Amino acid sequence: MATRMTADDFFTGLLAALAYKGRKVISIRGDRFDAILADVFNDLKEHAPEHDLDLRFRIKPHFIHGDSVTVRDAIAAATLADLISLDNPEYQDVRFKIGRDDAEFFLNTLPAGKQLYLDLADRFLERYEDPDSVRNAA
Amino acid sequence: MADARLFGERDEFEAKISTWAQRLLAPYIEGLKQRAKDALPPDRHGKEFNDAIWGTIVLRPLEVVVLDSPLLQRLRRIRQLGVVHLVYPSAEHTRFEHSIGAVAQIARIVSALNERGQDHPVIDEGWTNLLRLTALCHDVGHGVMSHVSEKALTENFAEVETIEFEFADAVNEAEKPRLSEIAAYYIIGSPTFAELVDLAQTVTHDHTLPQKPTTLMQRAVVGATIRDDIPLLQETISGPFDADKLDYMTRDAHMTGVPIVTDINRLVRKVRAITLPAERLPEEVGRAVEAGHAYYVLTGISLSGGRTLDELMIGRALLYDKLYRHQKVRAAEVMVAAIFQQLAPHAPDGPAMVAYALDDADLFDLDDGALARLGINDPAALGPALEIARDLASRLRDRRLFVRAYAFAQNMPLDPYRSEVQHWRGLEQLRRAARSSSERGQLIDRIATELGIVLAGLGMDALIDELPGNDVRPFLWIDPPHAPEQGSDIPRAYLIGDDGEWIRFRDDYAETLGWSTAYPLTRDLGFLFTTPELAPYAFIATEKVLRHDFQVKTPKSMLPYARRTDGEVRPLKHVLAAGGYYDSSAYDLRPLPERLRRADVGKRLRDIVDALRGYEGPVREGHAGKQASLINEDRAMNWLRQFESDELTDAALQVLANVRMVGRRSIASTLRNFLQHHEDLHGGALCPLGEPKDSSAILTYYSEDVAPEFGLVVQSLREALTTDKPVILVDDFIGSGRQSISLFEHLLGVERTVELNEVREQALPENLQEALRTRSVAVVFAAGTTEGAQRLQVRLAELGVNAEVHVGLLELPTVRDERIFASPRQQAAFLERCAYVGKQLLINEEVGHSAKWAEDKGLGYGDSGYLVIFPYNTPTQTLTALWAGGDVDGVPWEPLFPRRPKR
Repeated sequence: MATRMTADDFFTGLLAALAYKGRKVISIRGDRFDAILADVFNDLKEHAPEHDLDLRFRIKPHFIHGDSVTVRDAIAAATLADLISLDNPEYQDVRFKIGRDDAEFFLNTLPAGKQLYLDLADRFLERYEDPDSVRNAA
Repeated sequence: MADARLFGERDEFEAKISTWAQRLLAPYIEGLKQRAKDALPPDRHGKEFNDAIWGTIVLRPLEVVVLDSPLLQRLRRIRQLGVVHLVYPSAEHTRFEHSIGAVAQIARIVSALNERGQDHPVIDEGWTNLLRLTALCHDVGHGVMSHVSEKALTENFAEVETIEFEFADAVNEAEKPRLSEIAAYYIIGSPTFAELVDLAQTVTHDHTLPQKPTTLMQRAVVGATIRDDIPLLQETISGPFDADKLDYMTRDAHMTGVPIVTDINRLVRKVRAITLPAERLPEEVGRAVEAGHAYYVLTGISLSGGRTLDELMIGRALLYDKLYRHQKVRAAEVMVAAIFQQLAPHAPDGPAMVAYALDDADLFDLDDGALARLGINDPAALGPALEIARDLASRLRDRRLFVRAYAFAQNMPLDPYRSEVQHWRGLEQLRRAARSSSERGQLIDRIATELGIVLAGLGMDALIDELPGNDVRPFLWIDPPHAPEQGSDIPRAYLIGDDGEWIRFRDDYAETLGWSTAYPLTRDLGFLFTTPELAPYAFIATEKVLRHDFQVKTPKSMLPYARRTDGEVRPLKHVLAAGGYYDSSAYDLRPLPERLRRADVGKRLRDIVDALRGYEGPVREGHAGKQASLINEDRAMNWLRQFESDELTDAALQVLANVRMVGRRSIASTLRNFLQHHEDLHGGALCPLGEPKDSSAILTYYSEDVAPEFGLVVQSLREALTTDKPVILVDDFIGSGRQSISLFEHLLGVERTVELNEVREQALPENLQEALRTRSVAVVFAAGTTEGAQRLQVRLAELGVNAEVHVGLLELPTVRDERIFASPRQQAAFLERCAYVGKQLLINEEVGHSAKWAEDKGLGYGDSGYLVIFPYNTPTQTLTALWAGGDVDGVPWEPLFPRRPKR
């Protein structure tokens, strides 16, 4: 039976992996963050059969506005879960509230395994740190 | 072409909902055909509706024909707010009047777009009528109890959730669609609905609608573009300030009596449209539409009306918190979910269609007629499931709702365990488990099993026998904390200036989504809901399961949120404890020992905590922002209760009262007193005895408080040895002296007489070793033992270091001091217990700590049982039971002053 991965799992794992890699802050201003996550999700979806994953969520930025409901809901959920905080005054910077130890703990307890999330984080950072990264087409 | 296998559930749902709509509409459509055939004169006046919110609303004749169809009339039997009326009695309004109200709002929005800022109307009669009809029909996809049923079905039936994913994969504009939206899409897109609209046009002689109106309506309900030259026209139906929102927010607030600040009238007055050439369109909008139009119309809100959108966000947050997340509303909603859980597996058409087979009245009754509509023609075949479902339905009907039995959240108010890593991590795992339908089910199973044990232990098994099916499981439900979902589309609006320039609302008001979400975010709790009869027992069962499975501790501050009291729970726990229920459980679960319930304990604990205020203990990475101090009354109480018997608990209370924290002032005082008698060291270098990772680094920082008085300068030892200054090395504690000896041996590169397996920097270079041997050196400890100081003194002399060793506080409080205890017998009993506990906690074969090794360390290294702590850490010579954690005879032992592990 395929391993189920929810949006919660995906975001907790990705945030944990980014924290594990020492990331402290990520900007969510505009729709670039959403677009990058959509790219990461689409990569994951494409390779889901190889990992025997059953993805129970979708990330599809709005075809006009570019923001993703799934991403925004996940940010709110992660804030509620005390994994991140949103910096005043504009709430556009996500600040990680978990350190490496906690991150490793989550990575080891989430479905699909630690390495998968570390790989997702690598793909995310590759695009995030490239100012010319292409926005995912709807 | 999409792989058809990928859309199995969605295709099946589309077929079923279309068939359902077709069956529903068939007689009515036949009637319309006859009417068309009879060529009766058309109704030219439509109908006027008196609406409680908007006054008189006029529907056009075509709209009336559609409204009169069973598809729309069934909305009279579906409450807008599901079960909210069980809490807010006036909230009986239905999807029907909301749909009519949405028509009124679309008319206002269109008027505003046509009137303000343009030379000519941008939306003609035909398109206006299309939008009106779409608004009227936008909720045809809702099922019983509106969002309650779709939430219950999506969260508990994987095949329903799969419909949503497959729909999102198939429809470009959909990301996180709700079942009601999907149903509306397929109903409106069905041939039957197209026929209805077509016949409506015919019998009313109204052919003003654009071509293929139902295709356009179908696109609009999922937010797809319907006109390239007005790219955001569909957002008047589903968008930042759409007709749906303007009606439901006003209607829901009015009917429930919940005041919100949203000024809808003002917002409508701020609606704007501007005409732009393609190159001035927002890039993202231009990308979504065809080229070739001379001009495009961008719709939005005037720049000066931005705050009306803020108000919309505030209103949404208030409604979310006060209505949709009201704990009694949530209790009723989980009961609906529980009913579905019993019935849906037996429904021949599958779980998704359950929402369309029933209306609200059916759910409160579940008579044979309702079951027949579900396709269940032999109710007896359902067995206990039917009995359970009907029991739940009767409870809803008679408002005998579930109650809260347990409450939790990641951040709980006044949580004394917030700094504890296991507890925090456990809460996060609990949160995720509660949000996953499969894991939630397993968790409920474990709680149900535990509840059975609790009830048996209390002789209350009859409560289970009284339940239909003799099973508690259907009557337990976890509803996790939720952030407001659907991310809000309000920030997507465009703000349009008087000069025709535009800016995105979320760029100008970037903070709005954040602060408006923060309000409900910080308040939301998760609950276990159950029947009032089971609640106190369910609390006990849940507390234990969460402690064992997730290491989550229950702060007493959460009892009121679970509507439990200590007076209710404690007697039950005592009975259970007497029967051995807690024998292998953590002490914080057990009833408080009698001694700790006495009136003197509260003040004594407060005094202890006050005396030790400033103690922080080790901070784990990433937890720095959480509770600053590990010393608080709850944690102190939990440490004390581990001693179980009144005599030992009393002894432990005394012991805690004698714990001494050696802080900054003590250290400064020690150094000052020493240096006042050692003028030869004035002007010297103040150095940590150790490396930056050792606590001596903190001591050196504290010691700098007195440095100016004696002309001292703070330096590393290596730095100091390159000068000719005398050297004063500082550290916090010397016990046996072995650690300090090991350090000096390492610095001087000599063979160790003491091996502590610590990671150290390299030895001093030879020239600095020589320098250390040829100058005046003092080694000053804030506290410690005479024996340790003497041992170090001797070894330093052997190593050729001319050093004086000084200890500030020599008279250390210790459990060996009989004056702490009420009697020698009490002291003996306490020492025996602590020695046993300490030894158990220290045994760890993996690191070579055998039982033999631990034998003489049960009361602390050196077996001295000191009662000394520092603000940042605890020496190993202190009583082991105070700082070591682990298991003692299979039961977790919680230290009060945990140490940071040495590396």
